[in-house]
Amino acid sequence: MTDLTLTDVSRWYGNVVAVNDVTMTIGPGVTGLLGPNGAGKSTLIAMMAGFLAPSSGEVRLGEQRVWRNVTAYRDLGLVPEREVSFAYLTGRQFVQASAELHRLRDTRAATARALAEVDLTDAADRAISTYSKGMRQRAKLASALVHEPQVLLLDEPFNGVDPRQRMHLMDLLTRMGEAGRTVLFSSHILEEVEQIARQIEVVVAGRHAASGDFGAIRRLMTDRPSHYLVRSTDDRALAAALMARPGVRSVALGRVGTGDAITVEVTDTGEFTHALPVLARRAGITVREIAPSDESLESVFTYLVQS
Amino acid sequence: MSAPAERTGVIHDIGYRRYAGARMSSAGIAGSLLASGVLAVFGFGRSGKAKILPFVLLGMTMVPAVVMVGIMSFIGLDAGLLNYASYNAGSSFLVVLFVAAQAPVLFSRDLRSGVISLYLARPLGASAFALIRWASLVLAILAFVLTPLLVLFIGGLSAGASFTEELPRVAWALAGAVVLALLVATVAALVSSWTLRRGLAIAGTIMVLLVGLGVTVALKETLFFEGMDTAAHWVSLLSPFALVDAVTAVLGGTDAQITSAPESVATGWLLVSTALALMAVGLLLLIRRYRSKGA
Amino acid sequence: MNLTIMRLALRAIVGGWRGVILLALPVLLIGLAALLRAVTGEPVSATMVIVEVGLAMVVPLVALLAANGVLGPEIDDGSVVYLLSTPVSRYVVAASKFAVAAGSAALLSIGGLLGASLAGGLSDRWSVVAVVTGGGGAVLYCALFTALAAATRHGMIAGLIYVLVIEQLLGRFLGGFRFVSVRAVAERLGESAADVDLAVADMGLTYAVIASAVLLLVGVAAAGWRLTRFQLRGDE
Repeated sequence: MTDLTLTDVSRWYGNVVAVNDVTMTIGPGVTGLLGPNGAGKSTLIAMMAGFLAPSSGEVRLGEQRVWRNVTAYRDLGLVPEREVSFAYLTGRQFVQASAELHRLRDTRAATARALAEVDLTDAADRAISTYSKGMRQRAKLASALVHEPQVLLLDEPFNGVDPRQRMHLMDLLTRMGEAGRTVLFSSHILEEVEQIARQIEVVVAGRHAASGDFGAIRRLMTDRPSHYLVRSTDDRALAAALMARPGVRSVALGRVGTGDAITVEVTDTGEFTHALPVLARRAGITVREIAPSDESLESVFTYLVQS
Repeated sequence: MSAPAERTGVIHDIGYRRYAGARMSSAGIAGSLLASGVLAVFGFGRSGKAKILPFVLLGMTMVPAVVMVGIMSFIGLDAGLLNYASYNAGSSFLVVLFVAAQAPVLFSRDLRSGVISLYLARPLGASAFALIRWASLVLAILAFVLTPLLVLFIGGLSAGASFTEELPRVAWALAGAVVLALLVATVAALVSSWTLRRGLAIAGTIMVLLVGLGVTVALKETLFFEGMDTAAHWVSLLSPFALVDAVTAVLGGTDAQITSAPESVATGWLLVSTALALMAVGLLLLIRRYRSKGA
Repeated sequence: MNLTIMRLALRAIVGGWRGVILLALPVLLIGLAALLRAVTGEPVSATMVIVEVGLAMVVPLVALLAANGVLGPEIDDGSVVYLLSTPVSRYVVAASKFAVAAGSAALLSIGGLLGASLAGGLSDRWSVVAVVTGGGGAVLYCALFTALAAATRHGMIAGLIYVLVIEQLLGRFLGGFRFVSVRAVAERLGESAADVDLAVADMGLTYAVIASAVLLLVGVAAAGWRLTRFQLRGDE
């Protein structure tokens, strides 16, 4: 009942593929959905929340399908990125409405509990239009968890929230994860994910690029030999200098079709990225271009190394 | 206590470049803002979908003109079919729809999203910006209203109508169209800049222009019936469509299409002048709106 | 029906400029009738006030504003997801919103027409028209406009095109269009209930009754069906 399962899920709009053949299972605990802007995170969350039909494949919450099945919302809470347009309601009225729509037995108590959980009790009787961004986010969260769903989905919950409020929200999510709920949130900022998510799912250009424990993925990324394409003013001299580095396993000169360039196989990427500019400068070589030739992992890589 | 050491900062010159090329004059800016406004009303510079509505409506106003010209050329009926004045009156629904739907493009978005402050921080001030937006709408409405009239005129000529006979008649219709565009644009601009939400702006404009027309007709006819002609003429001021119809009728010597026209030419001129004066007041209000929103 | 959805829908209608414009329309109609009567000292022309301004403009506009008010802005900015991410059936959501729109539109239409008919010194038969044609028309228009608002983000424009182009412009020249005209159907109902001449007698009463029932059902069902397939999109 607590697992959200995506099986071979794709979503395309005309010729544009937004999500490409993603299979993942989100279980209890906090999971971070990480990826750059436009990677398809929102599309994925919309499909998980039953607000978008997968073009192929299937999204299930436990045993039941999510698309066109409103009963799924008994176990599912969604915090959309969109702002509430019911800003003329007070926070309490907004959460109360949600409680009523979920047909809870004691809506007042549930509302009070949800508001307390997000620490919004003091401001609950003010109109939402007077709230700060972080408070609005918490009001949305309260409305999404008023029925104590097993699964909570949050689309970019930390966007535009000030640091103090962000800490607060993170604590909340961590606590809910520890309580055994399935919490999934999307973000394009690595630090956010790193801080609270044990499990991460990385999406790049609509594809499921990596999945698992944050540290493990990072190790995998840095340890595996990777290939770089380097273009410079003096490829041969640069190749010779590079070959002397311990982290470089091989250098191939020239590449068919692309003109002059060298392909470098690297075992220690960190060392390589630091050493290359130094080497080049010392030898008086200008590096024109450097690109991982392992393109699919390019973005993941820059992502994980940026921290 | 010694004064804290002065902290300094420096921006290193790593080759930032300033824009040193030619810049547009104020007139140039105004011109391009005007042009982009007119084009935006017809959906250019916006998504493909945004072009559908304006062009469908334009197509619909053209239908009668094309049909009439067709009938004239193929069946060879006389030039009496070319009734420009009735065209203005007959297409009023479409004009209202066009204006109501498209005015929010120019007057609601910037103000609602707050981008307006950024525009107004540039060389053109609030008054100029508001007036140029308004002028864009006027030109767009003119294009909408004049196109079928010109098709009718030119098509009529090529079907054998007499140029000298048609010219004065079409000239009055064109003059009427200009006044109509000025007045209608002012109303729509005011409503859209006040309501901000697109749907509401549309409803508001429709209410003022269309319900206004209905009310005006009802009032005018009743007043005429009661013999209170002077009051009836002044009631025309409530609706741009009724006003233009009445005024072009008395000044241009055509038949009034919506309700009866005044008989004295002086009243006609007085009515136009009053309407234009009211328009000026409307523009002042529009400028005030932009001033307060953009500050 | 869901009372929570209805309560929220009502707040969306009455708040802000929308409430002002909604109220202004019937008030304008009553004012017009009163003014005309004051000028002439005689009962006003029912065709002019009740039919040409009231039924042709005020009723459809009130319905358009109400129907779009309950659904339009929420769909437009996507915040309808807060209502839809609950176990409430989407058909119930649509029906509840329609009920609020239809109820308010009917109330305002009947109020405006009844007030105008009284202020204008018209006979009781016109009060019956106010209730049957005004109220019925408002409800039927709302069914159509709610479906349009659910179907497109340009529900307002779509509704206006229907009223102005199909009903008025085309209906004026091509008589056949009265069979797809909400106004004609509502007028036919009023005609038979109130024994007045609204110039739609050549439409069968049975047709009018059936057409009303079908429009009501199909409109609300279509809106609900559309909501079951509501998709959350990113910013455009």
